[in-house]
Amino acid sequence: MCGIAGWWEERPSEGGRGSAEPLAAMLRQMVARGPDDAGSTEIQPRAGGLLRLGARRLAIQDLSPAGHQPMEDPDSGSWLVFNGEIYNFIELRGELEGRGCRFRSQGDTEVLLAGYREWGEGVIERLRGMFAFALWDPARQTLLVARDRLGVKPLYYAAPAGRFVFASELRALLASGLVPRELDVNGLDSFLKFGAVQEPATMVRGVRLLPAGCLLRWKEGAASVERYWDLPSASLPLNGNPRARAERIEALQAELDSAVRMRLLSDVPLGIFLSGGLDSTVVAAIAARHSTRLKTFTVTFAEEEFAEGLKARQVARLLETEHHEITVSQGDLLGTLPAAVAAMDQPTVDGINTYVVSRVTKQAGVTVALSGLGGDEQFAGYRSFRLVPQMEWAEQRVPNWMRRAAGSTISPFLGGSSRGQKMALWLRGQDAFPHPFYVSRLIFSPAQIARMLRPERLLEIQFEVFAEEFDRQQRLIAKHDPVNRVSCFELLVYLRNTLLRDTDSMSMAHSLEVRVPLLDHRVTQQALLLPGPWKLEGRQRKSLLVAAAGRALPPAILRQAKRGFEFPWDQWLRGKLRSAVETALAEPGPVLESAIHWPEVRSIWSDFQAGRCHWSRVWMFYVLRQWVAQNLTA
Amino acid sequence: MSVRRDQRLRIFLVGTEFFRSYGGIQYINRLLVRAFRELGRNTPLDLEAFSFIDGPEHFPSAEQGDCAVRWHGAGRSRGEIVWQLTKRLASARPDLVLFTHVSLLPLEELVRSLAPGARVAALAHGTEVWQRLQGIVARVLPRVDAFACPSAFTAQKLAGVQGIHPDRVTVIPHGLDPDWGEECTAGSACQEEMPARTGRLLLSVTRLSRADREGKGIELVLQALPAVIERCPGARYMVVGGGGDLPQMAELVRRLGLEGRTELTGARRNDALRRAYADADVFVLPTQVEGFGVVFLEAMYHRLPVVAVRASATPEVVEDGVTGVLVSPGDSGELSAALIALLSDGDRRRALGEAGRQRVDRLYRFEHFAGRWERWLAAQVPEAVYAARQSSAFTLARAAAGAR
Repeated sequence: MCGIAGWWEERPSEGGRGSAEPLAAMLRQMVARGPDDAGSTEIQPRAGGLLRLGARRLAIQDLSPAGHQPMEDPDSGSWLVFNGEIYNFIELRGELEGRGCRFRSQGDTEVLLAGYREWGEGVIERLRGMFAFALWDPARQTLLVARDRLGVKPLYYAAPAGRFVFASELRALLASGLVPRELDVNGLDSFLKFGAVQEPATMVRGVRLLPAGCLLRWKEGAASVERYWDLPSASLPLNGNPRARAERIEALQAELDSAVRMRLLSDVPLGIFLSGGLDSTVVAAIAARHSTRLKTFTVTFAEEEFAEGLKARQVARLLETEHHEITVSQGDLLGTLPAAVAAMDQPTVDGINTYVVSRVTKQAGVTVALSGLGGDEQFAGYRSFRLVPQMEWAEQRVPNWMRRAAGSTISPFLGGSSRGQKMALWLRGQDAFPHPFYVSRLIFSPAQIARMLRPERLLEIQFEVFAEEFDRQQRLIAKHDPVNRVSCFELLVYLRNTLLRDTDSMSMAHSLEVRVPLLDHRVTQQALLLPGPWKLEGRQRKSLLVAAAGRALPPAILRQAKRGFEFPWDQWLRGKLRSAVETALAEPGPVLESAIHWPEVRSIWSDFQAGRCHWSRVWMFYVLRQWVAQNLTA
Repeated sequence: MSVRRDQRLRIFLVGTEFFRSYGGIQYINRLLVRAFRELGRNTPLDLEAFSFIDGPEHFPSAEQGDCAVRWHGAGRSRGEIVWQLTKRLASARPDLVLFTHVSLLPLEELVRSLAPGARVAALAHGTEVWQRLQGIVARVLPRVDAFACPSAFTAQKLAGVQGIHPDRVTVIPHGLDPDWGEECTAGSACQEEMPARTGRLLLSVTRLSRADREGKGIELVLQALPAVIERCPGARYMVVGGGGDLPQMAELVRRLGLEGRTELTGARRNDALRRAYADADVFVLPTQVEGFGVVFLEAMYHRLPVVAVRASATPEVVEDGVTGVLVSPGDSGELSAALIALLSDGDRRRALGEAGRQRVDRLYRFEHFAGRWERWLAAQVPEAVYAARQSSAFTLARAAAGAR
């Protein structure tokens, strides 16, 4: 696990040597991602210019200097900087050794490098893991940049005049001084819509997030992006095979098993987040089949009403893990908030939970943690799996005018809750989205955002950027059944842009590597090849995932309703956090003032105080304001 | 896959006249339509224009493009246009209704009752709002959601005289018609019949109507002309413009003995008008009642120094000492001195003229005008603009994917 960075300059200053400071600044920004080692190298492409690559390393596999980056392939002269883990690297290494490759190290970085030498870009399709890497191929005079399929690891890039620059963090690009600190209204627009910036946009003008499942080739001053993987476009038909169901489920369970097993390999202390929920319980149960020395971690709150330790303890006893329960108080949490907000690589409405859990887990002595992230998205754990198909049905069968009339009639009775407002918005046809899923994930409606933005900034929004991605998503999901359609949307929109982004930035802030076995791409493929209705059958939530645990789980775990792990934000924003938030919202600063009618934000704050709006709307502006102040204000 | 209807921004323009005659208000009304059509390239737009004076025979032929204008004319009677407006308000549900003259504001209540969700705005050109309005218009004014006007001077009148809160007023300076671009320079076709600039020709372009006689200042120029001729032998004065007061103006020229030095050309348009600008050396129009002065833009576009008065909105367009010379209103002595100084100094004429051209290119081209109106629309109906642009992007993306 690492932070990687690099930049290519067409005309290096300072007598052709260029300045080493931008790369050094990027690496300094990412110390937390890689506290164990750092390195950089310079390359002179034949076409001219100067390419610099750098990395900060968090040593997980092969703790020796042999894992140092940037890493050179002595046979081909290729250079690699790599952030991530290749979980099947042992298998690939075996295959490569069979082809005559020799290895100096015991880690996966060298395997990736050798794999490229043997298979070229085809190595990417053989990788099973989470990754973002940049590889310089001297033979092709090309910088190949790639990101893993589901978007676990990020890779930001920009191409300011005469340059190409990339890094694992957006803030690293800003630290380089090569990218102007200017707000991108496209990023702001998507943040206001969904509480997180939707890729490929970012909050900074000129900077893009390489989409998941894509690779970028930088050659002779030009970049091209190509998709190498996508979610399956349909589930498999049963073809009248009476054993099809059993076979498919067995295949899924086999992939789940191998995904978890692979992720237990570590040369540093490893643990499992155990929240007491179904997803982390299943991950722990599978892991327990392959390890007798499992450590599990639960974060509980001192205040009784938020204590969830009991269920986690039950699971830990059942699985005979070395269980660690860390208790934090509200005071601890509140004291942590400024640091948590400062750790956001881009503003997000979520993420604080992950920051706290990551911090205490790292302090407990582990460097790697397995998470149950991805279970709800792939096994129909959210309310959206029932609601969105109903909305689809209504859109296809109920005339627009009738829906609008119904919307106008019942809107007053839907209440001021965010759910009610979204439903009213959708019924009246005012959302301007091509699919009702997006409405279900909206925080602010298009109309609210339009009123908030200053007119000149509204006119700057390049809707085509999102439209292309949304259209791609829709074409991808078109042949799926309604349940799997929601699954795809949740994977592509909420998971990718909110949960995985937050997990990366918040865990890396503590030099903690979080692994997500449920988001192994082969698990995802198998899950989407199963018909969606199977995931909603019976009374047991996420029954297909539960079956993969391979053993009876405590009834309290099985029967519990879906619950979010949520701090008492509403209470805090009215009490202990009120002053800080109010002070921040009173002074947005010039960047936000130029983009947003700030009285609208103050109005939202007043509405919240009066109980007319959800806390998340206020919190969003607080993190936005803090992020802009920390990152875009000189 | 669900089928969502594309969303478009729906605008109604309600105006007195667009095409039948050629005056400042008609020019701006037409320019506004062109600006909205231009906006339709980025923001899908349904634009309907209602004219109380034009008939169907005056409207342009069916137009192509993203925003084809649906015209409604007076036909046989003004009652008919009101009936058409009524029908369309009820069925089309506009997002914005823009009255291009405050005299049409008595229709505001009709708009509100039939299209309660529409934003109602009015364009104030200038003099019509400088004195306290009375009657129905005065009662309706406070209910209008937004005003646009071409000058800060008029904006101040709306606030100070009409009691409109400044937050509801936006200053949107006029711009040049995009077809104006063809410049009459030496060597171009339109110069073939023209003598080269002599360094002695003063030009005014204005409508000659009885109502505007004092305000436009042509008489003042004629009064100042003898002193100019005495100091600049060979100086001539051309007045381009038609109107009911033309015979009276001709009589005045004769009484002042200026027939040999003054030409009243009558109305000129297009190439003929551009030739006049190209031939002149100084543009002079000491108008005291100017809501903006598009003719100043036309003169500056042709690199003519402008001599005008320090009154109404003129100083907002003509920069004293930079793009022209501003004199005290009604002072023929100061006016003649300014004209003499310019006719005697070719370098200064060229410097002021070039500065005027740069100012036009920087602030008053059609794209600036259209851009300001686009921002104004985004401020007035942001939800509709946002929805239309987002919806259009989705449609285009779908079409592009289908084509691939």
